[in-house]
Amino acid sequence: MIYLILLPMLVSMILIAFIKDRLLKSHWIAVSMAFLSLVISSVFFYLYLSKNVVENFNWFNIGSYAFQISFIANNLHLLMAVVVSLISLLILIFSIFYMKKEKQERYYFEMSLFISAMLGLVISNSFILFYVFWELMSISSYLLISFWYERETASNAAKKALILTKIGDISLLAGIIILFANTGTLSISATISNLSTIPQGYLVAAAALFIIAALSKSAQFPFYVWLPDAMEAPTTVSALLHSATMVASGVFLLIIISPLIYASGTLIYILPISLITIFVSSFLALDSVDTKRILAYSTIDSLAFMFLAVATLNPNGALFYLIMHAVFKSLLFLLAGELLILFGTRNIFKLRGYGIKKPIFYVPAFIGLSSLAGIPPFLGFFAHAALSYNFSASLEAIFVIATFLTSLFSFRLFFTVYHEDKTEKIREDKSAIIPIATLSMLSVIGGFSLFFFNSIIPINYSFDLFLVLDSIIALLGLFAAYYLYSNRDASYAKLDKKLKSIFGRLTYDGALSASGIAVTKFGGLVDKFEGLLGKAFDKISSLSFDLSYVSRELQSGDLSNYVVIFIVGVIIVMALMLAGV
Amino acid sequence: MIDLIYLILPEIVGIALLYLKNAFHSNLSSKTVSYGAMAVTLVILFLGIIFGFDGFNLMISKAIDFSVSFNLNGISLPFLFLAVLLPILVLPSYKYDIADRDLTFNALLLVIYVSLIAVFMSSNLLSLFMFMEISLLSAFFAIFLWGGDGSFNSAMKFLIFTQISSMLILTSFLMAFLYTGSFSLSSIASLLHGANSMYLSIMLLLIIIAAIIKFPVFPLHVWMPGAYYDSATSITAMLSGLFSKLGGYVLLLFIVFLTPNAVGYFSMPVMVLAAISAFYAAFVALSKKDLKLMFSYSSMLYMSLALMGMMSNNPIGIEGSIFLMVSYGFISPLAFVLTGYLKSQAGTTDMTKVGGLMKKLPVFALFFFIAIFASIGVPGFSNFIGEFLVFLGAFKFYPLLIISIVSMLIATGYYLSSIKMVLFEKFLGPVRKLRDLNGSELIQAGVFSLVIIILGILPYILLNSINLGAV
Repeated sequence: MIYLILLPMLVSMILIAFIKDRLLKSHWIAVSMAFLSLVISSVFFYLYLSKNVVENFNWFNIGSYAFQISFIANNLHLLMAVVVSLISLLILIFSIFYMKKEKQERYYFEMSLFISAMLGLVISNSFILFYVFWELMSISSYLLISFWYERETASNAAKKALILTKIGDISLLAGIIILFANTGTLSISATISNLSTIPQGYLVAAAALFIIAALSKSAQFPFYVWLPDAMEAPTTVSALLHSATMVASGVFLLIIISPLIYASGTLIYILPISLITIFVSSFLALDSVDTKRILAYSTIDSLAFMFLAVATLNPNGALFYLIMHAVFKSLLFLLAGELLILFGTRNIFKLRGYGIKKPIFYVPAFIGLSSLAGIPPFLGFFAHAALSYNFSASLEAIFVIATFLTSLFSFRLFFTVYHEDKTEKIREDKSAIIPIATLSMLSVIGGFSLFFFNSIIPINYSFDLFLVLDSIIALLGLFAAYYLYSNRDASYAKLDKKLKSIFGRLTYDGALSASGIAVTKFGGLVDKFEGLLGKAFDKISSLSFDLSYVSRELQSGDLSNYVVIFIVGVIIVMALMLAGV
Repeated sequence: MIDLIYLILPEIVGIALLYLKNAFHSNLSSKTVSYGAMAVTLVILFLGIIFGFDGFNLMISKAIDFSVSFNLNGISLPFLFLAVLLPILVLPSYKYDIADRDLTFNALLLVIYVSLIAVFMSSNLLSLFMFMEISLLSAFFAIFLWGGDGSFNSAMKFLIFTQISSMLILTSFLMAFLYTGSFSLSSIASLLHGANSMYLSIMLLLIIIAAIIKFPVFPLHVWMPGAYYDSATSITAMLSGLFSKLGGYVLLLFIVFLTPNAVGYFSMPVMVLAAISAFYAAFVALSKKDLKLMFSYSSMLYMSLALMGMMSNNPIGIEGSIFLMVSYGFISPLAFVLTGYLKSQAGTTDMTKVGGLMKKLPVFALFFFIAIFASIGVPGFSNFIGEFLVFLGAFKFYPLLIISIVSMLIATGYYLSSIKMVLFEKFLGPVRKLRDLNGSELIQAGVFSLVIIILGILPYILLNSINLGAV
């Protein structure tokens, strides 16, 4: 029954594919089906509260091996399903406003596929099924990033995203194969509870491959370069991709297989990678002038926070941050999308020129960015409390710097864009207001859920001196951003230029295209060898007999006669056989 | 119960009708005859799958144990399914590149059809060999009679290589006969176990080399680019979809039934070769800007993976390789059929000369996406199961796994480039009205996709029909 969660979005796909806006607008199909999956997952969450139910289905058998697909219902998985369907629903409602002028069926079809892949992923308890949804998510994000396929930037970004995430997909598959070859089962829960039977070497290999998979999917170092380019997708897609789906699936993978990572001892590699990611992404965010790109780097930054929590044996802290992040990040993207539609630009300085300091814009933006920065009493503050529970003193010190940088780039965006008010009244669409208002409200009050989160999933948090320091530092970042960016002057431009020259290289586009060229060149060499090989064989055969001679013979004679003779011969042979001669 | 002979009777009647029609200058359309015969065969296959098949045996010469005998063994049903269904699915494409010699073509089509079906159900090695020869000879004619410039040389190369391969196969069959005194698959399987391992190894080695040629796998693939490129695209679809499976089928017969004990000696070296071949094919395909050549080398890549799976010598790898062969036996023809369609509309298969077709030909684009995504192993499409099982089967040889995984990554790269070049960005082709897939082509591509998706979602349909224990 658990698979029912998955069903509405699949139905939505099929309906959109077959009725094609003739009977029913596809956005209504998608929105109503997303609502249905929210209802179903909420009901299931209530029904299965504090239970742990696994449903197995035999997919196929080979010899004694059973390849099972299975679904799981417990607090963790169903909570994720609720979050995913809620965020998806809000984003689909926003899409009614945002995608008004676009090709509807294709968009809603691919969005439905995207959402159903994530819903399937969070409820699957079989590695093969997990992989199926994992890969479907890559493919649907590829399709969505290339939505405006006529733009070269979009088609390049889609390709880059899929190739870089494919490295992770293949690593995941290899890890699954290693585990299956050792345990003979594809069930995630059974594998996790039988870790002691797996030889240590295989355990390390599988865990390392899973970590690579998560890094690539969650756009962490060194894979982070695909995510900012994925901005070429419609903003609603980014909102979904950055919050509840795609990048979240990498962290989710680490959360559910965290016992495997802890048993293998590979977690020591996660910590340095996350720290590198945090600083690189913060600097790149400080360097960007594009709203969506800044948000993209902030996602990479936030995901690195979650990896930090996983690396400090606190996967449930990562989960809490993941859920909170989904709320405020989708809010921020929807705001960026709204500005893009209304003013036609993503450039923060151009937006500044429009003078849009209106409460309807800047209040939700302030809420979202404060959550991102970790300023109390917004979501991020509580998420930091859960996240940092296991941090050591030195890690706390580093984390404070990260908080400062995050706060700085968040409010750089805020103070640059919302500078003055000179626009006339702007008419807003209802389908844009509802999701933004809902998400803003959640961002204000949602943080308090930390206090009863423990009854759903065991979680540790502490409001200690460190957290006070952390929030003071976040406020400091706010003030620094106000001081630096609110009144843009020459020194700012100079600073900006300097930053660009330093941090511009961190996207290592040059290295990427160089490696692409190297691969192509190697391919060219192999191809050249292939040509030589073909020629060599031609030489041999022309030495042994003259092809053209035979050719002339056959072509001068009546060819069709030859074929008829051949066919007749076959018939005679067959007839003889049948006659039993 | 349906007698297996009924699967080849309609074609024989069809061939006879075509001959009579020619002799008496009748107005009967040769297309009707051949298509009708194939349709009847398809119906009989489904009846047989429902009611079960009955063997057929016709002794021709007792002295050399030569009989035309049909009996399904544990691995033949998936291939039989492919051999009956695929040629029918390719039919709507012939109108683009088969312009003349209508009668000859239809007769040849039936000969190919009947002989391939007969190969996969023959239980006498001599009759299997005979039907294989008929099919390859017919393919030779099909390549050069309707191919482009230079198709004769390519066809000749194809013929030479396949004949060498056939001689190796025949030698191995004769060795089996010399030891057991029989050509019957089941009696060889039970009698050959006593032979010394050297003898068995030589037999298997001959078959392996033959299969490497027929798949094709590096370095004996040199006939492939020419034969695939110079043939009419619909013929290429048949070559890559069906003819490339002949060697694999014979090799599987040896691995699974005839010389299972000798496989261990060759497992490692042949798998290394297969991994190299996959790697090689991926990089050559990466440099090809012609869609037809790119798909040709891709076909080589997947056949290398199939070889790897069957040589891994465990049930998962073997069943995976069968699944991969059948699955790619539908995917690669779909890719070629679409390439042929592109040629008919845009006048070229050069990827750098088209573009933006997603806007111009949205239905074509949909199926192009399906062909590409199915190839790169997206779950939901059949290749995913095949690749997964092959990799799982080859797990013990994990350094090879890494090489083939890199090949898959390269394949993803060039497949995505082809999407980018063919479907995305701006249209570069000639300024004229393009017609999107409709009518028979739409049904054709639709059924192809349906088969690929059904096999991907319900793989047990195919896997349950495999029984590695039944000769």
